[in-house]
Amino acid sequence: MKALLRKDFYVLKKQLGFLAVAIVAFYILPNVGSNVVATLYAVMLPTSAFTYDDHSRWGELAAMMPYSTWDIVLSRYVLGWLSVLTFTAIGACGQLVLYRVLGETFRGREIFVLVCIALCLMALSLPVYFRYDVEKSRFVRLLVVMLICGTIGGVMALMGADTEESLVRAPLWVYPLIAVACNAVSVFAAMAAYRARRRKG
Amino acid sequence: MNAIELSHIQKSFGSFAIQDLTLTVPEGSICGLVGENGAGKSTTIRLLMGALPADGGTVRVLGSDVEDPAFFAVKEQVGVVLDEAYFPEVLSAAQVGRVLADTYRNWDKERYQELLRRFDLPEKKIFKEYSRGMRMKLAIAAALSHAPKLLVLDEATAGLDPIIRDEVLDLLYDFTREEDHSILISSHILSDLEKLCDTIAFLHQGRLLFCEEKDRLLEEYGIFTGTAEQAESLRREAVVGREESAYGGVRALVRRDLVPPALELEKPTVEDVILFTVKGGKRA
Repeated sequence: MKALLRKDFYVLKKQLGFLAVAIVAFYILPNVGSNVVATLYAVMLPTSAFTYDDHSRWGELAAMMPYSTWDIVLSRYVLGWLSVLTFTAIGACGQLVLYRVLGETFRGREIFVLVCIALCLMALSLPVYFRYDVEKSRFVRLLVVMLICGTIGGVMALMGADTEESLVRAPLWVYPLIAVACNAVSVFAAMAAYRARRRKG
Repeated sequence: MNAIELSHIQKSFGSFAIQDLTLTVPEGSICGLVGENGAGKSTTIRLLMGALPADGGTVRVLGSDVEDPAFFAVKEQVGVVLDEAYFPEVLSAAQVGRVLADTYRNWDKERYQELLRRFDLPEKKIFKEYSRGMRMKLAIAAALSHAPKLLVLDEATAGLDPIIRDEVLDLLYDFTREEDHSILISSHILSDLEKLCDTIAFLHQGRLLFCEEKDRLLEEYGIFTGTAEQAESLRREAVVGREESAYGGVRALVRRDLVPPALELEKPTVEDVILFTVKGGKRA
């Protein structure tokens, strides 16, 4: 897995540098929306890696090398987890320092919730990228995210609950719990998706 | 022990199918896999590396079943070069080396660097800026740098200039000096295979038409050149394939054991055997 992470690091090196600068800039802007943009960009790094792999057809070579399915799948998740956590930490530190100087309130809770939601979105996307090529995955991912988020919103509306209100008021421990559960299920779904793609050839 | 054993392999994709493919590559030998585009050579290579599961039959490589979890360790001993070098385009040769050093436990950094120097490949230049020949040389250098016992090469010499191709063939010869080292190589350049291989396997439309020792194959057949009348006098089953010239002459691939011993025949090339076999099949 170290080899695959190293390969992704080399491939994404330029983007990582840009993201480190951009995320601090987005995090010190005085609205939550810019934080969302920055964190979502970090979530998209694994999908950028898929784009490079598809372009070079690396997957065909990797399937013949001593990488297990577990290595191939998990390395993408580790890349996603590391990028979301590292870049959000960088942005949050930037915000903490600047807001302390300016006397503004640090948006710690919002950032924490945002990271957990971002990890859930990544968990919804990655199995799709392991199943299809990048072009098709973009479309299917959109459908999956819309379908799942729409279903959750619909069920909550039927129960008479306000989705946004519930998100804001839910106890803080609920978010990491949901993110961990989503990612655990997602890893196994991605392994099944990767095997299915390989079977199809 | 056999380096590769494919036994009654079946694999279908829509209208194309590998049908009942049985092929053996003994340890220490070099087998050339020949066939037109779409004959199933690359599919065969993917099947034997476990990159594609077969619908039926068994595949064993270096004694291990590719479906077995233990095959994962066996892959360490197999160097693979595909028809394109599929390394990410933004990586340099040095970075490819570092990635592969984390991939293969037996990675030999000195050997890799020696091969980069031998092939005149710049370490810092990114892969995107390499020519096709340079890319293939990098892939060959990578495949030879982790002490493999088996090399699987899919069109590895395509796109290389004759001098480098010759150098690569020499490297492959050197590789098989160790008695437990084997090679399976697919190529359209039949002269390369004729120089290099001990056995030739010919795939046609997903079927293995023959897999024979090269020397035996070339002794088994002969090229008949004569008039149409002379050709008609040959036994029908002796003629594998024939071509007629505009001037009434006939050139045919014949089985030596089915023609009169006194008949003068030229020695065929592997290319003759392949082309006449396909043409003969079409004619029938």
